[in-house]
Amino acid sequence: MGLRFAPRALSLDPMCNQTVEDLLRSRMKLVAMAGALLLVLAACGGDDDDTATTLDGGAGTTAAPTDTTEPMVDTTEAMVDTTAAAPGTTTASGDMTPVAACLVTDLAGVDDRSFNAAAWQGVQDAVAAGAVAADPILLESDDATDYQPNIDQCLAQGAEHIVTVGFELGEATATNAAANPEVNFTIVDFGYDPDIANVRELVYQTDEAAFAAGYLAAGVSQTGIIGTYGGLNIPTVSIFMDGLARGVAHYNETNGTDVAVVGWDVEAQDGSFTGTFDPGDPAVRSLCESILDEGADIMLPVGGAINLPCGTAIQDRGLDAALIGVDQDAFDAMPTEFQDLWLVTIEKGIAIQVMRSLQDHATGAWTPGGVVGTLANEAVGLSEYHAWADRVPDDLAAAVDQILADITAGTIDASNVPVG
Amino acid sequence: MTATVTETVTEQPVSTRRTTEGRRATIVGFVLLGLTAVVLWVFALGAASDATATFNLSLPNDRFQGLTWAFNARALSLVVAVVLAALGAQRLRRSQLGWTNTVLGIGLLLFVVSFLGWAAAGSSFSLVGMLRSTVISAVVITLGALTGLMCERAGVVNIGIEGQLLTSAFVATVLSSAFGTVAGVTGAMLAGALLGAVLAWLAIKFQVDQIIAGVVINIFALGLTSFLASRVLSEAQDLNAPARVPSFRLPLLADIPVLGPMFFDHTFFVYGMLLLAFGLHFAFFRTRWGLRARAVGEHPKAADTLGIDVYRVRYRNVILGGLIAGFGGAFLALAQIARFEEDMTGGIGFIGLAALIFGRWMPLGCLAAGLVFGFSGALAQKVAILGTGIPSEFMLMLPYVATVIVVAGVVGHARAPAADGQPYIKG
Repeated sequence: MGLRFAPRALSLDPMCNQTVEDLLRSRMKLVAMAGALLLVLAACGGDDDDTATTLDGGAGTTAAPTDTTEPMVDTTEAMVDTTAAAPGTTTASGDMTPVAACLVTDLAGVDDRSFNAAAWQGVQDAVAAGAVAADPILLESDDATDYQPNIDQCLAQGAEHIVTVGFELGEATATNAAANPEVNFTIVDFGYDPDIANVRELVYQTDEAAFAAGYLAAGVSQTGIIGTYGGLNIPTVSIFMDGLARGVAHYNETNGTDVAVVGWDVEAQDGSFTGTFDPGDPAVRSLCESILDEGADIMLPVGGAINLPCGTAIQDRGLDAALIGVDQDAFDAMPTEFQDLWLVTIEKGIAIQVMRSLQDHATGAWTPGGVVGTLANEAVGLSEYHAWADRVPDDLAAAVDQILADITAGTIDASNVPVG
Repeated sequence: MTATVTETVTEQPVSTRRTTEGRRATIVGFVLLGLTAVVLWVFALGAASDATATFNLSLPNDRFQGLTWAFNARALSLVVAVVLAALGAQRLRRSQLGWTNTVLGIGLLLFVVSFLGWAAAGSSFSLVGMLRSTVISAVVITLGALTGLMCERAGVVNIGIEGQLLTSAFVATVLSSAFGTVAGVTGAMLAGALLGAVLAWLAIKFQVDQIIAGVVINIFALGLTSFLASRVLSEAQDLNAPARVPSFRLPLLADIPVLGPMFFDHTFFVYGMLLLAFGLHFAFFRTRWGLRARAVGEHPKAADTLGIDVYRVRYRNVILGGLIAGFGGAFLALAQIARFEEDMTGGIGFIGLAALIFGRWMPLGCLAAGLVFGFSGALAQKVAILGTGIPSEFMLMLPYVATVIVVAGVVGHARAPAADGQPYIKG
């Protein structure tokens, strides 16, 4: 791929590349797929009403989003803290005019335990804060052909602010933003060049937190081998792996150790990828086991729920190993049977960024353009250690906190720490 | 890997066979010489190849720890190049024309060993982990191929394996969550058999084009399971949480280095797959049942004349094949991740069909083909870990590239049962 790691993660998002992924993995069934899509459409045809249902904490969406009841930071506090960092954030929250908001998911749907769920949580937080009018609209896309009708539906319902989630919606968002200059758009995980006058793009400097996670992993690993794999080698995935590898290298540098990373090569910007974000694909578990076979005892799988098969493999083999979660605190977001396994989660504050965008709109301080989530503006961070808290030595925890502070202060540039 | 496959005798005139064999020998000879060149220039003379490559032969939880096989990558490649050149030259001389596939198989195996040595030069990787992963990846492919074999040997083409796997995976998940593993596996096999019965009914009773009937089953299965998963399983999460089927370590056997972790430390699905492949091979070629089934697949009219009930044999075989597919679907859902995901088969049923062709409609051939496909996937993973500079996107293609090459006829002419896919009209 021509796309390479860039300091500012550009556009693609792991969870929304179902189409690419299907093509990659399912050559053999293209013939069947065309027909199959027809039937899926037919099967779901009767449910078109459902996709347009206005949800007020309604059916099917309660489980995942409400798991995120603890945002990474207190949102009101963050609003105040980050006036300098995030363009267009406001100080006053008194004179808000509630906005009619509408959210369109990508194919993963709102119960993806990941970024669609988080974005919807952000909309609901904005409702709670009085920035969004009651009963925001949620439209789930079952198919790539749903994007345009869903956005049309939002517009027809009089939405003033439309949140689109993921790379797949990049084109549809741009087209509709141009056609509807009076409506504001917020898109998650996509960056435009040049910016569009009525679109705010939310992107994340996740390697800052991944760097600290790498340092932590190197510190707790008993085998001295850290494993990682991703769904596809695209910037929003590889930025996690790159940060991890650089963090491990930093640990080696600092402590004179020789901890290795299996599954990502910083020099080559390439590594181990499943080619799918579907946790049910046998290739996912098998890739995880392949890396465990090399002796890794801390694993960072990047891409929605593709870490679950790895958790299963660790449990089946009775290994003393741990996982690092991504996006939303995995301890809460993922099934409880894996709770012992999460060392830490590299969090992306999607909910808070979405909420900020809506809040800015409500206060009249909204600006378009890219907003980069960083440690400094608390849109990227590390979760608590939860079950692993007892196993992380105090001095290591302190060192990790110090690294986070250094990155925030700019004394460590996590994206450019040399390796090896 | 095709070494185990005994050649079926075809009815071609001797002279034609000889020229075909000769042409294949020439092609294989050139392929082997081409491989020799790659081994020499890339693997033996590559900049980094003069280093020790280490293959680890024990897994983290094995009884015997720290077993390794270390060697100089360049030296190994030079030896391999000499052997490959000798084999290639022998083929081109056209003196001993038998065993072409065996020779090609040995040549490819040596090539892969040399490649791994080159990739691992200066570092190490777990060879036994790769081989174990090969066996696990082969399970669904082999079971899918055996399903196809049961049907096609009796003259019914089954394109619906993918749908059978998917449906049975769904049924296994739900029933196992509600009533336990035994119910899950049984229900999955029955679900596979039910879809098989539908296929047989459409194909035999109504003489529907069998390809179309199979495609319809796939579409139906994908639509139905996706619908139920999104509407039912997302609500009742308890139904998507089956107990995982644990591994059963065969005492003593599992402690054998390399072979133990490869074959004797698995869930019962893996043992079942191995037993089925050997058992079916015996059944098809050593029993009266097998003879009759094959007769129906080759020449149903003749079989009918001899008093074999063609329809009954076909119904029975397609339904039995469905049981096998159901077993494979249960493996997908219960042994690997213990939950159902939409479209979790991801096309593996079609790879199974390719394995059936590669395996030349022989049960042990299907097993060998399943292992070859499984190996290409496992190989791709290790190569990515070793960081050879080959792009990861390319390595992800490897299993499919292997499929295309294999189906395109590298293994030579593979002959389907003569009456495969043809409805039999009594009268």
